[in-house]
Amino acid sequence: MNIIGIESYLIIGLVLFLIGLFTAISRKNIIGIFMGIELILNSSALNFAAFSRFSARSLEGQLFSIFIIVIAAAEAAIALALLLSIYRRFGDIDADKLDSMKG
Amino acid sequence: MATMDNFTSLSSFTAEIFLAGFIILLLAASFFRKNRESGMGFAYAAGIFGIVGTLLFELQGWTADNNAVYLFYGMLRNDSLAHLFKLLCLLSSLLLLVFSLVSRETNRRFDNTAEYVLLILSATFGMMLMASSENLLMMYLSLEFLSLTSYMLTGFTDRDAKTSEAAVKYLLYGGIASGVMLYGLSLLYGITGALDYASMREFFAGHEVSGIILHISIIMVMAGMGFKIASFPFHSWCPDVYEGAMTPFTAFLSVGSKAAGFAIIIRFFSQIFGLETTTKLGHTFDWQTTIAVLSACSMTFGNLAALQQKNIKRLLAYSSIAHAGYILMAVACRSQLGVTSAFFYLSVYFLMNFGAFLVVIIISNELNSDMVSDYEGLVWKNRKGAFLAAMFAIYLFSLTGVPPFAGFIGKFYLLLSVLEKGRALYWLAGVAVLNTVISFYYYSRILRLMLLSRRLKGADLSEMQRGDYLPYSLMAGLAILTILFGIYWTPLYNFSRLAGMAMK
Amino acid sequence: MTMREFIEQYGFIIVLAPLLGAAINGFLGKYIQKRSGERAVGLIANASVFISFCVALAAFAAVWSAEEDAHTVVCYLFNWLNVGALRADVSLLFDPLSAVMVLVITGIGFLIHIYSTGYMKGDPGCYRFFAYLNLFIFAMLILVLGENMLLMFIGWEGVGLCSYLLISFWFTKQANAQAGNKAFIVNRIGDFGFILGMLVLYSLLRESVFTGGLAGVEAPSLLSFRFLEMNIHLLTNTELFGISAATLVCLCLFVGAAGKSAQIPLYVWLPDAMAGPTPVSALIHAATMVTAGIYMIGRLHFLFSMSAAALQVIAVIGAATALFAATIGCVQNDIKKVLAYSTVSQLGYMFLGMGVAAYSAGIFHLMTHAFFKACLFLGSGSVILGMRHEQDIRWMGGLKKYMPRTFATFLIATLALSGLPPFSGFFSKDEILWQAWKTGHHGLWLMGFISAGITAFYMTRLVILTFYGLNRLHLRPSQDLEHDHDNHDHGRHDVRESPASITAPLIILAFFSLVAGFIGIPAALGGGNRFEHFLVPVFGHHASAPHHDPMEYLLMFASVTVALAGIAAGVFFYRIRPELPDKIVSRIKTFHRIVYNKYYVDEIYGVIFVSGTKLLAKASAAFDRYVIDLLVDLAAYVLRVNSYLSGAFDRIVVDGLVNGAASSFLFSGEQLRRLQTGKIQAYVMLLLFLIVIGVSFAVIM
Repeated sequence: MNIIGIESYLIIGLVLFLIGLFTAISRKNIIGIFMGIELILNSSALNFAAFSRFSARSLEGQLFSIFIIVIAAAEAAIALALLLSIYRRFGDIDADKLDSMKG
Repeated sequence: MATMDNFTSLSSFTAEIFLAGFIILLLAASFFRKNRESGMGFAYAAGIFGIVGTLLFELQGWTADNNAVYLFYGMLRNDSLAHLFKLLCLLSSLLLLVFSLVSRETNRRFDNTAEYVLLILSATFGMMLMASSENLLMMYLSLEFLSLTSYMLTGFTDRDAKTSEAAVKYLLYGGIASGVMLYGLSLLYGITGALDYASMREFFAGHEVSGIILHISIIMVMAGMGFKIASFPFHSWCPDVYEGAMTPFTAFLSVGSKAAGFAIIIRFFSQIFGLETTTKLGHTFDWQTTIAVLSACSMTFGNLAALQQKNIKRLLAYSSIAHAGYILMAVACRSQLGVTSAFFYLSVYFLMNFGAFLVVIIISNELNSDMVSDYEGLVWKNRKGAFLAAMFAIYLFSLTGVPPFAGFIGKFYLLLSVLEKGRALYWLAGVAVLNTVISFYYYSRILRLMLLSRRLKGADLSEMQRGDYLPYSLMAGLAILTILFGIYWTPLYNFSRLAGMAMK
Repeated sequence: MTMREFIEQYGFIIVLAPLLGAAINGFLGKYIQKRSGERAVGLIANASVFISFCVALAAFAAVWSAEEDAHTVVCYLFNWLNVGALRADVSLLFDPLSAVMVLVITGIGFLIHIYSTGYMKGDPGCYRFFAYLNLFIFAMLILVLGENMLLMFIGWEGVGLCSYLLISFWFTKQANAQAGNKAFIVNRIGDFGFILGMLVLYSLLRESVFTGGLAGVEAPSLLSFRFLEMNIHLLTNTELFGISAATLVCLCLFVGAAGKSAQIPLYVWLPDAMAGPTPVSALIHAATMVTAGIYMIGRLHFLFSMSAAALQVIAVIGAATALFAATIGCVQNDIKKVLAYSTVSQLGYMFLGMGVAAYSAGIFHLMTHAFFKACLFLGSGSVILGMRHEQDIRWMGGLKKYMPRTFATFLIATLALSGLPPFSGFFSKDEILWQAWKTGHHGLWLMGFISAGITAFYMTRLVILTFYGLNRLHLRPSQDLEHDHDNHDHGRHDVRESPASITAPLIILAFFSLVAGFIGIPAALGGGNRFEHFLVPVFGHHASAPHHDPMEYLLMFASVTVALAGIAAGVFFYRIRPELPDKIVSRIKTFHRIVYNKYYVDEIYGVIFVSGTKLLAKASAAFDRYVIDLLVDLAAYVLRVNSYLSGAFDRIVVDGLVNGAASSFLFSGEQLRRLQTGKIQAYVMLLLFLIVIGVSFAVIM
């Protein structure tokens, strides 16, 4: 029945995770960084769903994925609100310019 | 194990229900307010009422017979540890509200105080769940609950560029850290096939698990938890956010949020992997050493980086990183005594750190500055200056860990729990003692500045006024408790022991 | 609730009430005194001690009515210390011994509080005085009721503190401040002995308890008296520095007792302590605090009983002090100084009693002495008030007419002190002398016997000079006071009886001086010696033979005779032939001068300690000049070369290391700060980098 095994899901999850991390580190635009974070969250959601389906034999993991989506949406809302205030103050949303506090 | 279904759980959930209901009521009320300015007093009063009410419900619901109750099919576990951490978090929120009233940063500027109070109450709700969650899902949700509200509270004013910058940094760093943790959690779920701690423990007891995957997943989970308690190497957000946020909220971050983070860490490790090493577990994972290394790095890094700080809030930020390291030391002990002394230290830390931040708030009200150099000659300015300096001295001595202050007893118990574990952790105790010596350097630098220099730099302090009594009596109260628990600490220790005995 | 349960649960009120009184008067007293006058301050202090007294009565009743072998009532408060093997609880121990002490302290304390409201009237520092006085009562009760030695020590130090505060209460006078200092320094020596004894006892016991058979008991409170009493036998064969451990501990503790209870050679502070207000002299320096040493020996009698040598030392020192101080008392002219030396002498009796292992006799004398000596001191205070702060008995006289109540009470107390039957002093003093004789210390008995005669003599002298004859105030050399002129004419008529707040305590105390002895009538006189019987649960059955020894009657007769002889001599010298003393004095001028100057003990101490130090300094200075300089000059050349080399070493290597450590911390701190670039992505990189390191470690391991 299972043509595609759990390994495939896990590999896609891992790749998503790494892409997310890479995006978050390399992008200068804060929205870009934030998209990286979303990718990381989604990779975990995929993992949860896959484990739930294949090994755990319970729905808990899939439930977890739904909650992750909800949290991601909430986080995005807050992030956008903060970005607006940053944009108003600095005129752009470059992460490298946010370094008035250091040391 | 008494597992309750959703309906019967409600009776043991009254405090949280009260708080949640109160939040909704306040939210509704804030829509109907007419005059934005006049709402401030009402909002704070309502907030304090809400917290105190929850506190009373919490106290009433706690029977202290040390029986653990599993709520909502095992999502939450109400035991002494949960109750005590909830009390600590509620008191932190209460002090946050009071500090916000006192601080000039917060008690004027907003035009929407009701929302500020709402967010504080929501963060409190998150912390209460954190203290009792026994399920990976619940743990993640409550942690995010606190994080999201904290991001908003950090960037709540558009006072200056620093605040927005701090909020964005906090959000991005927190997002990545919790993302990493989430990935770790998914691996853990994959390994054990369960989300609740009890089943995971059963699984580990019966199965041989590959050490590497487990280790990777635990380290990833530590990223999210370490982020919450600001321990090295998950600390980087901490100094910037502490500097940028409003000082009352900084104080809250350094105590309440850290305590909730420790509640999660303690529960996670002791409930999943078990405390006492005598029980033979099937897995080969050695989390004790991992945490011990983190602890040593955290205290060393925090203390060294604090040495040359010029901003008092940054200095206290690094000091709080170091303190996270001290407390992790007790977690690494993997014993009931360790949990006991961790809670003991957290409650002592609550007293002294909130006290120190209160002094910082008052001085920043007066001088409009957070620079360490502005503390120069504080004692000699006037009576108020002398009082502030004396209080600050008590808190700083206690933070250093000098007898007869409570901080000393706290460190004593931390070291005791480490030494009790025998040879393997002696090095950690040595590092801790060395760190105490280093920390004395920068704490005493402030004392020296306040006391020895007679150059009256900076603006003058105003004289004491009638309205000032609240912060000063609060400050004196915290100081008295700091000294009291340094001399007679048995009651506090007995409470902490209840927390320790809840973990096995 | 039975009496016993009441005390178990609420016994702490005895201690708490005075503490509360002290706190209220200490913190708010100034304000209360300004608002509502001294009366309010006094009322608070009196009320707190009265509450304490009432509960003390209940405690006494609880102990009195206790079942045969349950004479100990413990009021447990909380666990105080629990560090390693050292465990100490804060709990109060009520047994016959402490019940008697508590009654004496709170009862006499209450009377003296009442007296003080009259005596301190008009003093601006009234609130301070009452706060100290209450605090003293608190500390004394802790000392007596403490269930372990640590708690006792807290009280021990507490009463010392209050004593210094009260001696120098009128601190603006130089002499008072100095007297306070002296008391402080001498007591430090004593306290050092106490601590040393306690530590030695603790360390010895810890050793033997943990190597011995008590392994199963969980962290026993090693220094609690009950534990000590049960386990003291563990020390039986222990030796330290060649003498038995018990002797060593006892001697150390006795140094402490001698300091607090003013025995040779540490008695010198007590006469000077009379600089304090008279109620203080009565309460602290006569009735209660100075008896702490005797109480301590009584409390630890099981320990002292193990060491015959230590007991011998105590008895000898006690008897010597009794005799020595009595002779000085004969020639003092300050009314309070006479009483002070008398106190020292009487304390000597008590130590004699303790030293011959007649513990209950010693405690009995402690109690009766508290009554009559407090009465005497308060009476002298009344006289001093009446004479407008004149304390020299040479300028008194004839006060009988003006102060009848003071005179009557003073006389009763004097007779009690002189040891005439049926006054209380007779029974207690005689018991001690009889026990001394019976245990074979005939020499010590003789010393006590002679002192008894001298005591009667100097007390008679005091009474006659103060109360009989004509008033001699006008004879006083006029340079003393500038308002002398007024007194010259009206002085006599100004002397008036003191108010009721002062005479009422006097009358009560005089009553007890008269009757307190009846509770301890010895078997030889047909009594049951109920007092000794009451203390049996503490001290055990005395070896006293029930049969009537004819010797006991003989000694009794002898001591009554010697007391009467002393009185007769006093009357003869100062009433019938008042010119005689001066003549005798001029005959034996040198001897009189020596005694008058208290055998020059203060001066000897001064020479030994002060001049000795100076001498040593001078000698070493001379040594310095002649010997050392020469050597230095010789060595200088060698050293100069050497120092250049070592200086270089210091500068380069040692300083380098020390400064290097500090600056390397600072430097590394500075480097670590660089990690905090302010750039969020750098933070994330750091995080990931370290996670990767952690994971790779896991893989490698």
